[in-house]
Amino acid sequence: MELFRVTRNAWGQETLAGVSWDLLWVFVGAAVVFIVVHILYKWLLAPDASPPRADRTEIDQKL
Amino acid sequence: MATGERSPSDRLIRHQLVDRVYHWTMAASVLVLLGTSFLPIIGLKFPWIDAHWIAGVVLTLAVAYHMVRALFWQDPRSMLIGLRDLRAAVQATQWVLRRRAETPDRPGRYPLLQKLYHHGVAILILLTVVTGIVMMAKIDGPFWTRDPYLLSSGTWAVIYVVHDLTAMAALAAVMIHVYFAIRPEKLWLTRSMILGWITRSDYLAHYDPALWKAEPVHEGKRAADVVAPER
Repeated sequence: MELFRVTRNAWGQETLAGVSWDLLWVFVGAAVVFIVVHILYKWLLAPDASPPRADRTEIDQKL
Repeated sequence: MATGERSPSDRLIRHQLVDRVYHWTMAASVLVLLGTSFLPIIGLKFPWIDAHWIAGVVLTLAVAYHMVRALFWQDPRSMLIGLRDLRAAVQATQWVLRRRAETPDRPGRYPLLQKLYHHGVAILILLTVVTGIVMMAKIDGPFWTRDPYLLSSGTWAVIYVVHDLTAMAALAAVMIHVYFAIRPEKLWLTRSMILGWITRSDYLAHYDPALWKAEPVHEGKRAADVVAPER
């Protein structure tokens, strides 16, 4: 996979035109991987985020 | 009051109307920028350049407005990362690993992860905006003609690389942001960016009142009509 896009100017010299568009899928893929891993983590591993019974009593008293 | 009913005083202001308008203006301009830049690249060809630079100008103005407002009208200290945040991060890690029974300390107005995401996206957007503004010298606009020789080819190359990389990273950041915004346990936060308020129970469950004193929505008024103290 190329990392950069290279063109030639009017004098035949190689000039850097930017990064390769193939990198777009690397960033999209990284975001998708993050999302999938987070979904799995929340589904399988994450502890219950709701406050325990004692804390709920405190909240009810404050309402 | 019957169970499930909400009186106006149960609603606390989270985001003022002006801040919500800023957020959605920025969101719309970023989506237009991402669409006009990457859709042609993946094959959907259309005249993209004018929509792209106009959306870029809108984003630039919105970001400039936000920076002035956040620094001088709001509380920038609420976005600083301090020892309390780091301590809560350690507690959260221990809690996730089941090494701690109690839930982590509740944060002030912005939890650590929100601060980190904001700061990361801020760097990406600022780099994209600055390089994008410079790149406007290479197109013909309503008030200027293009000057591709403004900078050397080596300097243009650096600008292109920075703009390309930060734009791709911004795309990934937007995907992750939208994912969190639609997660069921985060919908109360998403609602606050639309309607401006959170419920008192969400406030007490997720924030430390000693660190962030949220103002109630005044009875008879909508959250949009209330100007709450910024600090």
